[in-house]
Amino acid sequence: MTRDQIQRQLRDIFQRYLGASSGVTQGLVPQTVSAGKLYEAHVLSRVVERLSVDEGYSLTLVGGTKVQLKSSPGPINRSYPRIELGRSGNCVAELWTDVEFLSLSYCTGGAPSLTKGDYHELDILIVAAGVSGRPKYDEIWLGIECKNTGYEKSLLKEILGIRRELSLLAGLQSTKFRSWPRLTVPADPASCLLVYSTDANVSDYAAPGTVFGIDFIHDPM
Amino acid sequence: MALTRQDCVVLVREIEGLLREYDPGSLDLVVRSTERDNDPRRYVVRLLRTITKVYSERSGGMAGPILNTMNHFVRLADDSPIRGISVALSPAERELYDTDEINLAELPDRSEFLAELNRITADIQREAELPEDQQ
Repeated sequence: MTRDQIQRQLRDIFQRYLGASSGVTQGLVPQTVSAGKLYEAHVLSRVVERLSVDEGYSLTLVGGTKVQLKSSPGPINRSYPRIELGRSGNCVAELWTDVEFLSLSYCTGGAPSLTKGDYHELDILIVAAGVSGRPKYDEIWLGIECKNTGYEKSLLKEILGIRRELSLLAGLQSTKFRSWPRLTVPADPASCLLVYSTDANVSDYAAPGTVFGIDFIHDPM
Repeated sequence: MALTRQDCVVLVREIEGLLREYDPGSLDLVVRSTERDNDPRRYVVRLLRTITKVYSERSGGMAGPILNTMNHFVRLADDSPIRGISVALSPAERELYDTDEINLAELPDRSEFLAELNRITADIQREAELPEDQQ
């Protein structure tokens, strides 16, 4: 085969396969559904980077070939895709999105039936491997809230409530992590709780987090 | 007739020109990701292999760059890249929008393009008479 023939073939395949558009035709996406989800996907990409680089986990998407976020939260459904956190060839934890957890007050109060106040949503959640349904507060390794909006006092109150329903204030306890997001947290059980926000003003609300173990991160995407 | 070093210099220019024309955003990434080599016969093969790798992982859509980042750190069980990022809709939204999910990013099927690239790469390799251990 000559140089000219190879050149012709190269031109032909670039024209044929990349000529019209190298992108993907996107349907009409309802903004109300997708707006916050783009930011959640962005934060998820940050989280998997830290889990891989800082914590050394091998990460595998199982249960599907696409990362799947949900427009409304619910219990863990094991027919949905999730990311397995592996160490030494074993799955030690799982990352899920848009999951409701059973609150500390519900699990310790012995309420006979589940009401709407007994569970709360986290946008990104890491729990022990194999959990299904709504995980209990003490099965959670890490919870993350993603806020692609102006950060206001009401959001601080919301996350303080989540912290309260995950753990009791305590002396520093070891988390499940080596360094990221935290080695220790003043909470028992020792779950990590993070807030990612596009609003730089989120730092104005960070002070209570130093006491209760909530990390506020400004990430403008 | 075997491809000469000069032939391969011309092919490198041709490939870079095609990327500039059809996907200028990828040109810089491809060039930066390809290890330089004083022998243009080896370099053109490396260049095509980088293009094959980039296009096998490159996604499009609203969250294309996010999916590209994700694919650096997460793989499927068979070590292939994640195919997309989607939002599963609630039952009410499914009825309203007449779809089960919204794709934020998707990896397009470029298998034919990649197969053609692999075939041309093998042709160049053979015509440049590069031994296996010098690629």
